[in-house]
Amino acid sequence: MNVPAFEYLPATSLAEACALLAAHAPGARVIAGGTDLLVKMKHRRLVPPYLVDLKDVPGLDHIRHDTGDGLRIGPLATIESVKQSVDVRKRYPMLHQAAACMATVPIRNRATVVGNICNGSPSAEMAPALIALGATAEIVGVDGARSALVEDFFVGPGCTILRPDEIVAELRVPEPSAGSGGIYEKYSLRRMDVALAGAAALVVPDGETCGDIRVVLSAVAPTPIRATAAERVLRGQVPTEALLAQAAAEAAAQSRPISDIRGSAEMRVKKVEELSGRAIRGALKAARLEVTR
Amino acid sequence: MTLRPISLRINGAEYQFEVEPQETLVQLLRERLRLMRTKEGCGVGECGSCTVIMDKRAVASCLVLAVDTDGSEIVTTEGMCSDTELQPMQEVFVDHLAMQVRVGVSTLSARQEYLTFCHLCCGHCAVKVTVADNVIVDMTPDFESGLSNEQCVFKKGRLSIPEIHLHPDRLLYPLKRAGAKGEGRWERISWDEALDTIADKLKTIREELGPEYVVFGLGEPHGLEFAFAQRFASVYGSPNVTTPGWFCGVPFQTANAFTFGQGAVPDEEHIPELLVLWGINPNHTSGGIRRQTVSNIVESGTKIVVIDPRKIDMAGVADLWIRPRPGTDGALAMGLLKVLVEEELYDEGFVRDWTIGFDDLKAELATFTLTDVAEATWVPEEQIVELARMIGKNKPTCLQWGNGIDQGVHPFQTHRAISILAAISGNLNTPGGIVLPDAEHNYVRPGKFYMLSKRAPVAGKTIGKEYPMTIKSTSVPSWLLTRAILDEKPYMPRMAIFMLTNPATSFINSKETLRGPHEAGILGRPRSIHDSDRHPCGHSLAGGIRDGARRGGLLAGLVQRGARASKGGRSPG
Repeated sequence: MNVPAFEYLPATSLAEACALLAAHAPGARVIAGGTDLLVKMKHRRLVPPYLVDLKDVPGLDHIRHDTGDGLRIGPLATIESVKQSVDVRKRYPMLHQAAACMATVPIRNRATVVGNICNGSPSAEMAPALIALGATAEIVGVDGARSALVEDFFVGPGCTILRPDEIVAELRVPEPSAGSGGIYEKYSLRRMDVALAGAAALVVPDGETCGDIRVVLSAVAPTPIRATAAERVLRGQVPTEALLAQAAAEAAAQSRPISDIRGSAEMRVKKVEELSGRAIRGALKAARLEVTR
Repeated sequence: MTLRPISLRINGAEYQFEVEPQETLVQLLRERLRLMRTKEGCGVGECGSCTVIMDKRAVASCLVLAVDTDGSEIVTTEGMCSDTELQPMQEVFVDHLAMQVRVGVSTLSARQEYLTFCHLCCGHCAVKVTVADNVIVDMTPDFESGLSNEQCVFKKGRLSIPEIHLHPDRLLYPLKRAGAKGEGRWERISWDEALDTIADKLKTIREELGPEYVVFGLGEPHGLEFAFAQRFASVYGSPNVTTPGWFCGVPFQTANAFTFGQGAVPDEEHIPELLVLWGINPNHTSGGIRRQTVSNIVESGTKIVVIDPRKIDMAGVADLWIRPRPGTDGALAMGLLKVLVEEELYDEGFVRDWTIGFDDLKAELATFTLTDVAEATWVPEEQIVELARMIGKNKPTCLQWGNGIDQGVHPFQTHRAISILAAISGNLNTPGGIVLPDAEHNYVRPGKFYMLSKRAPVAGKTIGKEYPMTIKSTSVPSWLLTRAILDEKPYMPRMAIFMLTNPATSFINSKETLRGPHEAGILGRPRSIHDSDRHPCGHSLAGGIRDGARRGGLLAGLVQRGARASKGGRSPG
């Protein structure tokens, strides 16, 4: 399949990349791994006349953890490198899980975590974990830098808060709260396929109670969403089977999936209940909280 | 568009290219270096067939821009394999019985190996089948046979045949419809009941109306089905046999026979200087030329010309890719002949010794100009001239043309023009060209077995008798059969036996085809029970065994029943 013709604009610094994007706005796009962008271009769903390539910019593929500061992921860090990072695996197991079940090795070797977010897909595999962990996107543009929660990053399918000249220069994931536990659950036809529904849960224990909890759903609304009603059911409570079931049902009620070739909306709602129940239970267990009858 | 210079290492060798930004790595590997083992399957990074190693990591080369490979090190499967020994990956596969279908079904010692052949296409490659507890657990090409062998048995055979053999919906015995048509309810009946039912109907129709009221529809043969079915039809007395030959091979073979006196096949033992692929992609489908030969030809650096409106994968590696307007291949062939003859690039000795009517051809070629050809075919004049000169000057040239032409308009005449082109350019019966097989030793001539001439079917009753050559060369054109059922002209058949074919998909005009047999109430025989509800006929299903001998057995059984029904006369079958 042919990629439609475009003008190739390699950048050697982020500032130059932003300037190129601004000069060729709104048609210019950033290419990093290209595993989403080139598919869209081959299908002519997107025919950008200009592509700004970041791969000649030095020092963008870092995955760095500093105690107290948290995790920093550069825009060229691939999903496979995040998956293989010992720091990620030890301190952000949820992120590791999300990376590990995303697509295939050849795709993960090119696809970047930042690109996965910037693609703006409602089913973005890395989004639920990043949102649950309270990650922020450090954004640079011709007019300067800004910072936004990944939770606020998505606007609609294929649409993010990024302006045409802006680039995500880094993702920052804060240190997880002491004793917290998180789990990412995904449902797809085959493991490598795009998620039909995804759910991440992060639990911060407070004594015997679930001090704080975040439940994030993907692929079941125009953007990844927080299942806030489900969180309210358990926040500050001693977790019980009844509350867990109620929280899962609330998550399902908050989802707004579509029917498409992969599955019906009804099926997805059911899957949300199942997945969020599993994710919450897993997160409670990881946070060493017992679910009482 | 600005070209960008890149330099990279591929399989240990340094290369420099100027690439367009939109060029992908798989395109570069295949189209510039002819590294054909890297395939573009899905094109969107899902199937894995384009995987290569880039800087020690596996990547989907269909989603990597060539510009991004500057300074990289690429390894393709060509760089990983040798002809003499197994590579570490292959050894690991062997150690772990990887790619085997049902590892652990039984112990290794309980396995047996059988030498047989693959039924999937008419290539009939030699295959070694491993059986454990009466279940096929593995299949490999039988390299020791010395017979032709494609590699598809590794994938298609290993993964599909055992599944089909064990599939719960596979037909293992005759079924009779128990509900209304389309309801999908069937009941099991015995072979005796099935054969008796069919034989009774056959007999009744022959006695009451005449044998021509029964139609025989055949599909892609996997064994000797055509011979058995044709023989059965002629024994029964019906002239109405239809096959898919009209869009698969018959126009081509008939044109060969008219032009050369017999069919011609490519000489696979010698590498040609030029390979012309016309309406055929031997890298994806089987034809006269095997994939292994294509690989050898590609690797040898032979010039390749592809004539196809679409960019098939071979077009990517071709030295010249010609895109004719669909259906104008005949005009293109005439244009090529015109250049060949008028520039005197033809083989004079061959024309003098082996042709008749060359002056007539010359006169015909003078009646049009290359501009006419270019207008008709949308192929620029200079390309026509270039290709004609390539064919005239590269000896030997192997011309391969296929079903892409059979399925177009005027396939017979088009094939004749191309046959003449192959012959007078001096590429007929020459090493590396197309050759006429030794008819006496290489070809089974089943004509006598068909018995059509000895036991003449009801004279003058053939549907479509106004197309005598078609009837002679292949069968009743399928659309005439549909018309006969719908318009009752010349008469409406009352029964049809379909073998290995689903008329709804293999006949022209599926809508009418579906209407026809419904009105006629006809007997059919689909391949699996799933087919049966979609099968336009489907009154009963007599077996579904993927085995030529058994199908032949069904017909032999019918012949015997027919004979017994007619009061113990000796079976003519």
